[in-house]
Amino acid sequence: MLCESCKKNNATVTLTEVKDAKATVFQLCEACARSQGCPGQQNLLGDLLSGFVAKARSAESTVEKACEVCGMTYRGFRAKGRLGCPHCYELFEEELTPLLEKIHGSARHIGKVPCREGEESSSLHQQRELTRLRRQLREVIEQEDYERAAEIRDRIQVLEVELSSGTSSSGSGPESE
Amino acid sequence: MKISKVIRDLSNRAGDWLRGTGGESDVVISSRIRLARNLEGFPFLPRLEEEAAQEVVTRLTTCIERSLAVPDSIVCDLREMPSLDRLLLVERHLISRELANGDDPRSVIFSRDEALSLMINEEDHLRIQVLKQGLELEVLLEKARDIDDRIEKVVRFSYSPKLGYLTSCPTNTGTGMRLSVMLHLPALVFSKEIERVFQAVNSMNLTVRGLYGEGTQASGDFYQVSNQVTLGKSEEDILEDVRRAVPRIVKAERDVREALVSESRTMIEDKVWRALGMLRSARTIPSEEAMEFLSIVRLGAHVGILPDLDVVTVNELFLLVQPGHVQNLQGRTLKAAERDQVRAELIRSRLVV
Ligand SMILES: [Zn+2]
Ligand SMILES: [Zn+2]
Repeated sequence: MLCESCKKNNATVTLTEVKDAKATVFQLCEACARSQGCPGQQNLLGDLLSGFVAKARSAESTVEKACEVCGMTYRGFRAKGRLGCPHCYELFEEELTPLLEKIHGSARHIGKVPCREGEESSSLHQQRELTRLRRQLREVIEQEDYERAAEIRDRIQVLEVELSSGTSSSGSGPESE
Repeated sequence: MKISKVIRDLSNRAGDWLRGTGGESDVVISSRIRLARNLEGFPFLPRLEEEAAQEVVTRLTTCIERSLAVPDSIVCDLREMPSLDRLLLVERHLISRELANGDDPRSVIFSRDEALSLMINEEDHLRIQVLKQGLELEVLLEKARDIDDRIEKVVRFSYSPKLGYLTSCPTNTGTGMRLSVMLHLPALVFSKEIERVFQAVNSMNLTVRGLYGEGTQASGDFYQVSNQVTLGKSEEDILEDVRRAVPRIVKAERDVREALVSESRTMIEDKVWRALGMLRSARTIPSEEAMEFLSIVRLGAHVGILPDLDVVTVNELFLLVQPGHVQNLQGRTLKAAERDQVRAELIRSRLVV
């Protein structure tokens, strides 16, 4: 049997992905199996698999750009399933957003805000507010109140821009985004 | 304090989290939270040069000591540590297999009670791990947060308002939190109902995997249920997801245990007593077999077949029979046949009639 990914080499590896109570089996050659993220090394990577399989096909055509901070390429990320530095998240945002949505069902953090000493409290305040708004957004979407959702989304956007441009942060350095 | 002495001390007892005396201990062994964090200003591990990796170790170690996050801490440079000792730490879940076998400068700092372990340069610069027996998830989360906050006061972690804590693998980004509950499910395994549980758990966006052994094979019938999602949910949401799922699994396991005892009492009694007999009389025993019998005996103790058996001893044995522990007990590398002999001797000495 030929590898389902490259359709060139003989398939020697069977990868089973279990998600949402459905098992999908992939027959892959060793090289492709490895590029789907070293099976067995980490269970979590199995969850990434379906994302990678889809990406492997669509990303062939994208021009290879390398992270100016760490040198990681998207191809390099695909091969190991690991990003090289925080900046990679910005650089590959376009490719990563659908992947994150696939893995997590969302590409927006609503959890903990760092507890940073010396950070101006207003920035922390904004972060907390952001967390609260995102939670609220989810609730109103669940209630199908889309008008309210649009309002909240706008406020979130304003806050995010303020936070990422560092307009409110003190001398302790800008946000990593 | 010599690390080798610490390791030797560890090798003949289990940490509190594995003693299995917490609430619902018939099924729930312990709960664990892991937080993934990366230092700002450094690339992630795959792009971290050796020198920078060393600096991450030095900086984090200093900061953690300064933050007083770990009481009574033991610091181990894993590059300096013999492989047998590393294996022992893996078996005790103080470090991951990945951290044990890496090439980069890497370390672990853990508290003497083993409830807390900080892995440096595993898949991310820092993995904060908090363990607690039973199912006290709020207490666990509170503790993990406290450690994280303390360290954050002296160090900046990579964070983006949109994606949260940034991790090398996108499966951990956001909260960077993995909450796992370790369960003993012998009746579900025996009745082959476990597959159904897996499916149900998967549909709740959680994952199940074996606690001991590689891959899906769960030696000793121990499984851990963990959250799959780390982004788009708060830490409390994640806790809630796990908290909702676990009682259902616990109930399923108890129901099957009850059914087994009421419908096939003689068969179960026979299995339990035979298993105990094997453990008490074997002169040589491989770890897989030991785990299998211990699991049956543990089940027997919890369904009232072995009321006089000390369950804590049995729980400890699950750990002490592991290859790294058996060899550490002898203080040297042993061949498989020698290990099986030492293991059998150890079990007999602990399970005296
Ligand atoms: Zn292939
Ligand atoms: Zn990068």
